This record gives sequence, structure tokens and C-alpha cells, in this order.
Amino acid sequence: MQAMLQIDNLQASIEEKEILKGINLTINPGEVHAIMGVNGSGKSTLANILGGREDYRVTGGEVKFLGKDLLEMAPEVRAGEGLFLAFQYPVELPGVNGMYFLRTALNSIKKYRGEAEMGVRDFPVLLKEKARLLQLDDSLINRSVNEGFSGGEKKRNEILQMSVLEPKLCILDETDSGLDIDALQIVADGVNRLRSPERSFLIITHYQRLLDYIVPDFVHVMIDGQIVKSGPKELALELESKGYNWVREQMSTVA
Amino acid sequence: MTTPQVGNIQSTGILSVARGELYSSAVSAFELLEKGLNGQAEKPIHQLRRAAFKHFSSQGFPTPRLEEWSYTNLASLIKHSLVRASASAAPTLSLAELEPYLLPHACARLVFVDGVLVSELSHTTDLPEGVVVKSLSTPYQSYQNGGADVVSKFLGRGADSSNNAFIALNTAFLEDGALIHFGKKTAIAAPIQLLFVTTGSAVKFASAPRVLIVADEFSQGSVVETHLGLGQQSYLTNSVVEVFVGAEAKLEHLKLQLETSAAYHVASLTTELARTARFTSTQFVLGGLLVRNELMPVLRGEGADCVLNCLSLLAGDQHADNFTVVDHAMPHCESTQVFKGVYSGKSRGVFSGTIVVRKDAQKTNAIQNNASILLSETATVDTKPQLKIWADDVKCTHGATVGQLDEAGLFYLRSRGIPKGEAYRMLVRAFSEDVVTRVSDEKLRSYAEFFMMNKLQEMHVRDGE
Repeated sequence: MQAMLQIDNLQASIEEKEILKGINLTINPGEVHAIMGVNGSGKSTLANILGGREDYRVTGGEVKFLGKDLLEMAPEVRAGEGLFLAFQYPVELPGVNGMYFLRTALNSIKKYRGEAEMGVRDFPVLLKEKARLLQLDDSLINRSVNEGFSGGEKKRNEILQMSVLEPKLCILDETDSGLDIDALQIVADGVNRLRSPERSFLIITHYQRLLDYIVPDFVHVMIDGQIVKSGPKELALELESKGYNWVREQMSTVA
Repeated sequence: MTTPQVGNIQSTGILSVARGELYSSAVSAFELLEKGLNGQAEKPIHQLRRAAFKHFSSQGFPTPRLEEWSYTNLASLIKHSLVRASASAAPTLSLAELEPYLLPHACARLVFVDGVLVSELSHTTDLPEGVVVKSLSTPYQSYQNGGADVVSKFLGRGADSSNNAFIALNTAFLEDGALIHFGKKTAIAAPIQLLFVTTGSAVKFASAPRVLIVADEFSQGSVVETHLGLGQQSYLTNSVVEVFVGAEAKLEHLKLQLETSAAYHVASLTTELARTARFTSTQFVLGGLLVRNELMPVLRGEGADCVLNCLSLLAGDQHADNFTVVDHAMPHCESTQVFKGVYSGKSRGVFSGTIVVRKDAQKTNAIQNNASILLSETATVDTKPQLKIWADDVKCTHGATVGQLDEAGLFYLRSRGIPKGEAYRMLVRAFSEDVVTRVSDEKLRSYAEFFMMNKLQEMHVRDGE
């Protein structure tokens, strides 16, 4: 079986500062992986590099997405290939209509794949249905993308985009940050609904809380630019009760 | 307190005025015009011309030494010797060739080719009673104006030759042009289009389009002005549009400027607004090598409302200077100016906007906003807002911003699969949104948007991003 994502000794820096110091991670189709870590551990950098943000310099290693070199691809090509990054801070786009934006995105991806594009009439029907499932207010879709949205609305909008674009690999960068418990549940429901044997998830989070709702297959702990511990879902609970220092202590014992 | 002097060019020194080849060619062209008059010299229109020419010849062309021209140097224009448009030399164009530029639902259309009205390309038969669209060259008596000749009553009343070299030059060569008259209480269902085409045939060439729009009380109208160039040669379009909006009348104006990249385009739009008159002008500055676009409305009646919107999209070596003087002469008037620009390549955008509030114009509410996006490191923008206020109970605000395209937004769009070029156009389109949405007629809006998006595409390709 071909891996969905294979990260091999990935190293990266920003402004000469080394952030990622050799990440190794393999995600197979259908698997849900969680990366946990404190602020500054490099977990969001990893998400951004996978998404194609250009502020970082990859200094070593490689990333294969369904067998292809991911780091060579422009952000829009990654989306076309089936990668989706749910942003920690979704960008507000005043003047860009939400419906138009999402239809353009879907049709760009379809075009990339050589599939028939979706018509102006059919799209609102699809969008309405997806929004209903996510309990997202219809009126938000016809507004400018994310403009004036609450934190919860922005995150739900990310999940709505995800459910419309139907990616193969979803990366959620701190999707739980700034969400109250109701919003968290709605977002988690949305993600769970999308789980399938062909689709993989990489969930990046600081807290274990989200993983109560989206139960991962694997949990990785990231400290100082490296994955220092990996384990089954129970690792998240252990981490929650014992804290990140517990992992650090374990590391120093090993050393 | 002294009365404000607006728009006056003060001759402060020898360098504030330039003449050059363009001046000499204009002088000989005027001599030629006078010789060919055959006894028409005493007609009122020629008196107007002669007076204007006098103003022109004493003024010469402005230089950057003049405050109002400090960002725009005409040296590259006035070194040209240009040939004046004339009826005999007008080349033939077919409607099919002009198809992309025609507003399909226009209720009337006048097409000027190289300065000359071509009736075969025009139509004016679908107009309701009381609305007149015709050539300026013949008199027009309107019984609604008490039998007065609308042309002689209004022509030259708004566009003052005495302190504006280009208005003077336009008026000196006034021959043909468009007259649009909306009689009292008339309304039209679709806009009237004026299309000015310069073919750019062999000779370097100057045309002076002249438009007179008179909207009588309680009328409602919409006029679209399209300027278009087709050839490779340098040419000058020196356009003057005079608008009079009567009491309670409502006029919408749209200007789409699509001159070639070798063209000089100098335009003056003067507007007089009577009591509770409403005037909205939306302008798309897309073409031209060197552009000077002057908008000078006077709010002369109480409760008048004037909105000026402008979007400039410039690439390569283009230079566009948008210049406004919004003159509040009476109380309780409102004015809104929204000037936006997106500049790529080595282009340069200028906005100098003045709000004048005269002593009587209490309770004025005037807003001016100028926002620019620089797409390249070599593009520049100059912005100069000015307030001249002589009344004490007024609300005037102005703001100017210069920025770059939102990189985070660009990445967000691309991360959703939207290719870079399209993502960039979506963001620029979004930036322009508040200018575009001012166009109330949906078909007209998509007409303008088509050219706007074309230009964005071209800017993107040219800048090789």
C-alpha cells in the first residue's frame, strides 16, 4: 500500500533559525494522526510547510504525498493533488464572496484533475447541503470570506470548505484553538463525518481536548522540532495528565 | 475672508508654462480653421472658439512647476506635432469591428471615429419623447427650456477656458460632439452610450471630443462614455464633458477609458448640480500612456449629492493623474469620492483631490478616500488630499492608504486550489468592489467588469508573475 504522506528527515528554518530538526512521519490512507506539542515546538511550522507557505526554508529531507514530491508543488497544485490545510487563523477576504470563492476553488481542483466543472446552478445546492450538515448558518456563505466571522464561524467555515473540496489528506492546524465546547463539537462532528478508509487526517493541537471528539489512531509528541514520542490514542490522555515535562524527563533519562 | 480661487493657474515664472511642437501645430491648425470658415466666423460657436483660442495661446501648456501639475510632466506630449481630426479623413469602421465595445442594451448610441460622428454606426431612434441625443454641431431648441437653444445656453458655461489650457484647446477646435438632453421628468430604461474611437492610422493625431449633457428637473438618465484606441501611433484625446444636473434630477455617468499604450488622454469633466440633484460618476482608467483625468463638480444647489468613483489599473509605463476639485457652494450638500488604484510594472498613479467648502456651504458632508495597491517595487503612487474650508459647520473627512496585495490572502486562495493568477485577480477585484458596485445597472456593471478583468489579466502576464 502506498503511503498517503511520507515525511523523511524534514528540516526547516525561518530566518536562519532552525525550527524542524529532522521530522519522520508516515501516514497511511484512512489513518488519523495527531501531533501534540507546546507552543514553539514547531508543529505549526510543519503544517505550514506541508501546506506550501513560502516563509520557511526547507534545509533537508523530503516529503512524499501519494508518492509525489510535495515540496516541489505550488500550493494550488497540492490542493489539486488532494491536500487540504485548515488554517489556525483563517484569513479574512473582504470583497471576496464566499459562494464564488468556494465554487472557484472546487472548479479549479476539478479542472486540475481533468474533471467536469460544476455549474453555477448546481453548486449552491451542494453547498447548502454541506452547510446544513455542519450547522453553519447559510447567510455566512453569501458574505465575504471570513469577514467579521467569530472564531467559531471561521473554523466551521474551514471544515465546510474541507467537506466541499473532499481532499485526500486533511491537515488541521490548531483547529480547536479559540473554540467553545459547542463549536468544538460541531467541528469534530464535521471531521468525523469525513473520515473514510481513503482519507487521512493530520491533527495538530496543543490540547488533548479535541482528541476526545476526534479519536486518533496515532499520537505523536513534538518537542523542539522533533517527534520524540509516538503511541496509540492513550498517549494523548497520558500527556494530558502528566504534562509535557513528563516526556522531556523521559527523554533525558534515555539520553 | 477672501473667496477661494479654485483651479487657477498662476503664472509664477517662465518655467510654469511650456509650448513646444504641439503648441505650434495647434496655432497653425487654428489659422487653417479660420481660413476655411467661409463667412461662418461671426457665428456664436466661433466666437466661443476664438475666445478659447486666445486663452490657450496666452496660457501655453502647464508644467510641473504649477502646483496642480506637480506630478505630471507633459514634456513627452508637447514635443509632438499633432494633426487635427477632420471629417474628410475619417476612415471607415464597421459595427462588427466595434462589437466588443458596444454596450448591447444601450437605448441610444453615438459613435465618433477619429473625432467625427459616424451616423451609420449610431442609433437614436429608441429614445422616449423629451430625450434627445444628437450631434452638437447643429442648434437644438427645446420648448421645455422656453424655446431656448440648449447648446448656446449651456455650452462653455461649466468648462472654463480661462484657466485650463486643455479645456481652452478643446473649445478652440470645437466642431462636433454629443449633445444629450433629458427633458423635464423624462427617464430612460437603459444607458446612452458615447463611443469615441481613435483608429491610429498613419498620422499622429489629436481629437477633441466634446460632450454636453443637460438633465432638466426631475429627469433620470444614464450616460456611458467609452474611449478606445485601435492603432499603434501616438495620439491625443483631449476630451471635455460638461454636465448640468437640474433640480431633483438624477444622472449616472460611467467612463471607460481604453486608449492604447501609446495614447495621451486628457479629460475634463465639469458638473453643475442644482438643488437636490444627484450625480454619480464611475470611472475606469485602464488605458493610455499618459493620462490626466480631471473631475470638477460644483454643488450649486442645496441638498445636492455628488459621488465620484474611480478605479485605475495601470501597468508598464502608464501614468495616470486623477485630479478632482469638488466645490461645495451651497448648504446641506454631500459629496463622496472613492479613488482606488492598482499599479504594476513601472506605472505611476497620482491622485490629487481637493474639497472646497465655500462660506455659504454650511452642513456640508464631504468624504474623500484614496486607496492604492502597489504590485511591484518599481510602481509609484502620489496622493495629495486638500481641504479648503471657509464654512464653520461642516463634516469633511479624507483618508489615503497605500499597500501591497495581501500575501496571506493570496496564500489562502491558492491553498484552496485557485491558481496564482486567478487568486491575484480575485483579490484585486475584491479591492475594487466598492467602486464597481456603485454602478447600479447590472448589465453596465458587467460591461465595465469585462474590461477591468481583461486589464488585470494583461497586467499579470506583463509582469511575468
